Amino acid sequence: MLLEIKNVFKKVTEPSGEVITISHADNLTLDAGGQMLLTGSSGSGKTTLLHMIAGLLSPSGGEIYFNGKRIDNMPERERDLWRARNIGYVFQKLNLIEALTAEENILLAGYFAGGDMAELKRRAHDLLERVGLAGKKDVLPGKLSIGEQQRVAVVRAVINKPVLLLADEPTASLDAENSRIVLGLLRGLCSENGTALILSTHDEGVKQQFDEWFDIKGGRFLSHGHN
Amino acid sequence: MGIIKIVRRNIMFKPLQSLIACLVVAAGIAMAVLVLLLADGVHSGLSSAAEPFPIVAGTKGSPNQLVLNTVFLKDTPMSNISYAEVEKLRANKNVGMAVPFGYGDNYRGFRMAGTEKEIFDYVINPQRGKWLQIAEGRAFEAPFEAVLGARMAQMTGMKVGDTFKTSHGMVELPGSKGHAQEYKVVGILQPVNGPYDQSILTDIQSIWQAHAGHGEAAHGVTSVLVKPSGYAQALALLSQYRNNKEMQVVFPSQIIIELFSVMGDAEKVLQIISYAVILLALIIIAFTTYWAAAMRRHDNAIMRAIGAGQKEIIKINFLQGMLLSCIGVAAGVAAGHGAFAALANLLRQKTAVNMAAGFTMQEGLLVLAVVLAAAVFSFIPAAAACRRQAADDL
Ligand SMILES: Nc1ncnc2c1ncn2[C@@H]1O[C@H](COP(=O)(O)OP(=O)(O)O)[C@@H](O)[C@H]1O
Ligand SMILES: [Mg+2]
Repeated sequence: MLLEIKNVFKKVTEPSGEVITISHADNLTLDAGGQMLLTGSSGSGKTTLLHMIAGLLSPSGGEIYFNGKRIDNMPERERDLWRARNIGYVFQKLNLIEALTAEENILLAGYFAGGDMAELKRRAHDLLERVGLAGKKDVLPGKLSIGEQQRVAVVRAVINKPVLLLADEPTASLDAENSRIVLGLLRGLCSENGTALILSTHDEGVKQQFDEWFDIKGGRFLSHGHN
Repeated sequence: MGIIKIVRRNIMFKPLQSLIACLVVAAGIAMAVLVLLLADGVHSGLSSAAEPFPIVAGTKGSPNQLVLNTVFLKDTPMSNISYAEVEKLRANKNVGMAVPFGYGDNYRGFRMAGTEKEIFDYVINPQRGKWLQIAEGRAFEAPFEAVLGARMAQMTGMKVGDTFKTSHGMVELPGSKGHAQEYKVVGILQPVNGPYDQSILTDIQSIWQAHAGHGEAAHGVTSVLVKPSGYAQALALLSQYRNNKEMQVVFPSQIIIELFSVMGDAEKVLQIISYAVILLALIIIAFTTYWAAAMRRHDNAIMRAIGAGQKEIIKINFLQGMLLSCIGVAAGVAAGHGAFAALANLLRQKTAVNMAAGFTMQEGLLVLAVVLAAAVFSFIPAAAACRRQAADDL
């Protein structure tokens, strides 16, 4: 088992002083190389849960195990290192660095992971070509369309062949056609590299393309559906 | 891809923001440097102007006026003492050299100083060598021959061989009656870096002859430049003249120091101002680096989320903060010196007093302090960035 989540939740204090639970997952497991769809309406706590899995946010309670090792209570520094080695992340807000070109954004992730630059460049070039952006590698994110930025973010997330890829609503701002392309790309790349995938969506259309999904409702991890 | 490239890209991506950060730092440093240089420059400028005049003798009265007359070529000349006093000084065993000066005439506002040929042999001290050196032409040999200060010649464009007529008084008044005798330029001095760069030197005989009809005391001199034969002799000379009814003997450098302390501790005030400005500069650095760090929070969170370690985050933020600060410091030091040079130039044009514009020890300490402060202020938010919950800034 690659990932095991036990009763993880996040509580925040509202400005009114009221403490509310914004994300809650009772029991969630994922095998190495497995693919999982996380569904739920907007505001149901998908992003919060993915942040907690990636170690970008500390849970208020519960336990997260990665390859049998507990990660939710690791010191910040150790967690940065673990994340660099294991996690790829496609953010809902994309979060490309505006000052860097498409290619540089991708190479940056490789650089932090200590990869060989020549090798990384070759791989970045191949991937950009595959997503149809080879001609735009030197363009700044601000000059790319949302769909193009989305694809750059996907390439950046897979450049280090992570053990687990987290993709937060990667199709939210795309039309149906592009949505299918990006989804296919993500799943294809993950299968090729043996990367496990957790993909979140609030889009019913995406569900049709997965065999099963986990529905997160009202901040709680509830159902386990089947098409 | 590398740390340097990321920093360069970040700086160039927001040129205006980077420029403002640099400019704010530069402005603070420039102010502090300027105040430091002024505090130092005014003092050293006045002192160096006084250097050729170890002792000045003149009529009893205000020592300040005597120094202003003789050292700075300013203020109304004091009344004359008789030439016999010059001879008495020359006979004094405490005196190495005594040269008379007579003021009272001007040409286009440039003061004429009547003196004796001996002044061209005057050596201030072995290090500085001769005070006056001829750049062009020769020294005056006869009455109504004139030698021009370097700056005076440059400002008027006068050359060896030119002739001119002086007028009585300190400034040339329109329609004022000039002296009839014509002077001939025979030489031009090398710069002395002091008020005498704006003087006209002539044989004191010329002044006496020009004023023959005015009924003034014949063969009078305004002041006497005295070079004592030694340090002990200088003090002996001072005490010899302490109770003299007609004459006073002063050390100009002493007068300048007193002037500084009398003028409401001007130096101390300036020093307090400079410390305040330095403090302000440090606060500015703190705010600028903090502001710049706050602007980088989002990028820092992204970099951490895609795998940057603590070391990389600190390196990038530290380098970026330091680079902007150091560029600002360098620009500020340059601007401070530029502003000082402009002010010094203004003072030089008005008074020919030369403020030295060297790098001072204090300035070095200031730069060091500011760079250290920038290092600390760049490091703290960089280190803090790694302690933050990345999700909060994404
Ligand atoms: N730091 C926070 N403080 C308070 N409320 C938050 C915070 N982060 C998220 N929320 C709230 O928690 C809920 C879940 O957010 P999120 O995980 O982004 O949901 P989703 O990704 O499913 O749309 C939302 O209502 C959101 O407004
Ligand atoms: Mg979300």
